[in-house]
Amino acid sequence: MADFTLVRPAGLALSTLVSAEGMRRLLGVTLLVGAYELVAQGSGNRLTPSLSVIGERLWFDLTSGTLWYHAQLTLFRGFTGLAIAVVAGIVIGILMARSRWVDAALQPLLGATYPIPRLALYPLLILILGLGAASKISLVAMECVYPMTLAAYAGARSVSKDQQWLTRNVGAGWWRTVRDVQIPAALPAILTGLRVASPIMLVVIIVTEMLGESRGLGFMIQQSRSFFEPEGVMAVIVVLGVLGFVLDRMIVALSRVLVFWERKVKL
Amino acid sequence: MKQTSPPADRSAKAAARQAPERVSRVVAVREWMLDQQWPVALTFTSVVVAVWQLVVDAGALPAYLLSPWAILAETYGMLESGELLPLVEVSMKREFSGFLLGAGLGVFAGLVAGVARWTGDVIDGAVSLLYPVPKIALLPIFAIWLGFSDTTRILVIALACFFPAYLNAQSATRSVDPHVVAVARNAESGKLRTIFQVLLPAALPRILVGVRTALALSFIMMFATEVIGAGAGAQAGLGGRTFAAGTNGDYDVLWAALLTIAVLGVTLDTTLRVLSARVTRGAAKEMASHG
Amino acid sequence: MSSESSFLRFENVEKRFARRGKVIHALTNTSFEVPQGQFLTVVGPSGCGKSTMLNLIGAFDRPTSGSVLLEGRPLAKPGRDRGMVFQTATLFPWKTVEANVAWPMLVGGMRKKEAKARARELLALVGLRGFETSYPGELSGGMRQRAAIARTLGLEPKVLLMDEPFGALDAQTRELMQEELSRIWQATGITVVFITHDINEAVFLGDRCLVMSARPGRVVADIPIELERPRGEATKRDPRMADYHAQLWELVRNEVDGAAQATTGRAAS
Repeated sequence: MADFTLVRPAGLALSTLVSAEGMRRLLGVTLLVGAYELVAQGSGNRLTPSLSVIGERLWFDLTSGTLWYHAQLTLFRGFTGLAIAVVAGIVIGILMARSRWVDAALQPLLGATYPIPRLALYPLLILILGLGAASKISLVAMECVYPMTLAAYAGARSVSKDQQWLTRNVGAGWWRTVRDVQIPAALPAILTGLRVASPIMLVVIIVTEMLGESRGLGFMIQQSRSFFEPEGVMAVIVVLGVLGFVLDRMIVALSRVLVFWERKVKL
Repeated sequence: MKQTSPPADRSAKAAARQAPERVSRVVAVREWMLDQQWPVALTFTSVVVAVWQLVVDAGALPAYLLSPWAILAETYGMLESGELLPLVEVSMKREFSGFLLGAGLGVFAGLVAGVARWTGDVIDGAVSLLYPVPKIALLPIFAIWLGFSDTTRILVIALACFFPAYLNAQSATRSVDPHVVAVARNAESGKLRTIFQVLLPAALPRILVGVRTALALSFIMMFATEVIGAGAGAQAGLGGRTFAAGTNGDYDVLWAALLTIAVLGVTLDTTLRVLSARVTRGAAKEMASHG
Repeated sequence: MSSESSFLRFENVEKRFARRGKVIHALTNTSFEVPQGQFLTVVGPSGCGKSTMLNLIGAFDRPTSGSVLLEGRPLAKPGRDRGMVFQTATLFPWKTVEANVAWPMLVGGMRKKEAKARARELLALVGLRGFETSYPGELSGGMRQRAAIARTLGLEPKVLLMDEPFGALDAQTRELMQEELSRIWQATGITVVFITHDINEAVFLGDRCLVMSARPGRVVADIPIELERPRGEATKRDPRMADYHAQLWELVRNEVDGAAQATTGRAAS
């Protein structure tokens, strides 16, 4: 006797087309944007530019090439710093997972220094490395290495006891164990760490560019502010929002490819 | 985080070849050090600091890298001269206001969003619009609207703190075991009572994680908002003072300010961590038993 | 036709619900009566709607059609007269054991002192004397279930609904808990509806056992268990237990096989 009938109950017909939850979320977005637009139209002054004004400015920045010029730099610096943090984080994390001594030495340090804003060290970095890209990239790396290390550590430790003993039994050497067992096991956690680290990267690079710099998206914001062009500021904010979102989605897509064996990757 | 001991390794076997009584004591001390972790970390740090001091004494470092001793001396000096405390006061006021406002609103909104599914989805949609934007980028626009005042800074800090608090509170409330709620319904517990006596305590551990993240964030944002568009004198706060010191070449002040910030950050975080642990005592035991 | 003498009553109950766009037909044409004070056990293949049945009695859900009546009145929402015990004890981890047991009583308006005293009584009844101030996290699975039972008894329910409460326990603890539960039931005389996968458990505990069909579930057999009360060690060695087991297993197995065939039949087509 058939126990499933693919019948759509009448009451739910509309929401099976578009998820009810999605529609409610869209409502939230619309309400927020709508509220802003209302304020912008109502105030009638330059301070709160309406969406069309922001759109125009955004279009101008895009087509004049200004946006690409600055964004490219921001992204290059940011990704370089992130890449360093990823590599360093994986190395340190796996080392900590494999050696109890390294773990004992570094774990408390990580915990203790976590609440200290690395940003506070930026003035120091400027002294050592100058005002150019190097200090910015190092700060990004320093800041992002924390979530990456913790993620790699947690991931490497997630290799179950049974798996560990199996690899030992088979006679796998040090490098093999790391490469074939620990890194794949740590991959989901590493990718989650990446998801945490990328907004941090964005924040840090923007902050550094807002301080005594002549290029980059952070600089663009400051420039618009000093020329009293709120639409310019808002335009870059929109770009940053989009960037942050796209970055996140890229990592999710990357996870689906790299961690292909996990069906329900609940990110 | 406790480690589980791996199967006996080679060094233990080597040690075992020696006299048995000496071996067991050596092994016991070794295990204790690895288990507690802080003795190792402390030794490691002390070695690094000692080397640092030695290198500075040998005159091998550039002017802007002070020795640990000099940093401590300068910090003490600033404290005595009355320069440090006003800066701390100004910064902490901003940080606390922003943190309490942002995290408080965030937890509240998260609870609402977690309990009322439909309203929650609407709120969630609005939140996810702003989430990818680095909140520091909002400082300039607030500055255009409201000028570079404490209000603007507190607003930005609050906005930054809102998100981790909200996200954790919402997710914590939504993922409360439905059986736990069923127990409350079975007892005919009213809606308010269920929220405050059942949902909230159940979600509390995770909510506190969000609050701790918000705290760390508030610290960073306090610093960032003080550096970008700094005030003058004591109004500069710790952040502004640090940056100014760096620009002017007052390296001793720079380091002293850094040390102060570090100490403040660690103290705040530890306090919150201890408080959280006490509040979630029972739930922690549950976690421990599940392994 | 409602009968005044029936305590708990299912009348032509149908239950369908939607999950991820599919409609699941959990129960169909389910009817039975339970007299007051009876220990009713329910067995059947996985997914046959046993839990759904319990949820309907607890009124955590409503039937699609048909009615569930307690003392002649249809059930509208969860209430203190029907206490539920889940497979996982679901105690509040932030409260001590006695605070857990006392909580529903406080909700019911009892004063703190009274509730605490009553909680201690109930904990003694379930054999947890001395563990009042422990936290659930410090107790074993069996102990947590005992505490959960104590908590539910504190509601002073008319019906005790138990959804495979011993399923997550190891075999030894399970045996002990079965005997404990039988003893507690003997002492309180409460009506129990007990769901389980374990046929021996159903026979040992129950006055009567319902066998459910595969999904969509309905009652295919209604077997009275005529073993003497109180049940204990001796009961387990009674040869009639094996007979009941064989009889019930045969019935359940039919249903399991039938369901398997239906699945493979569908898969092949």
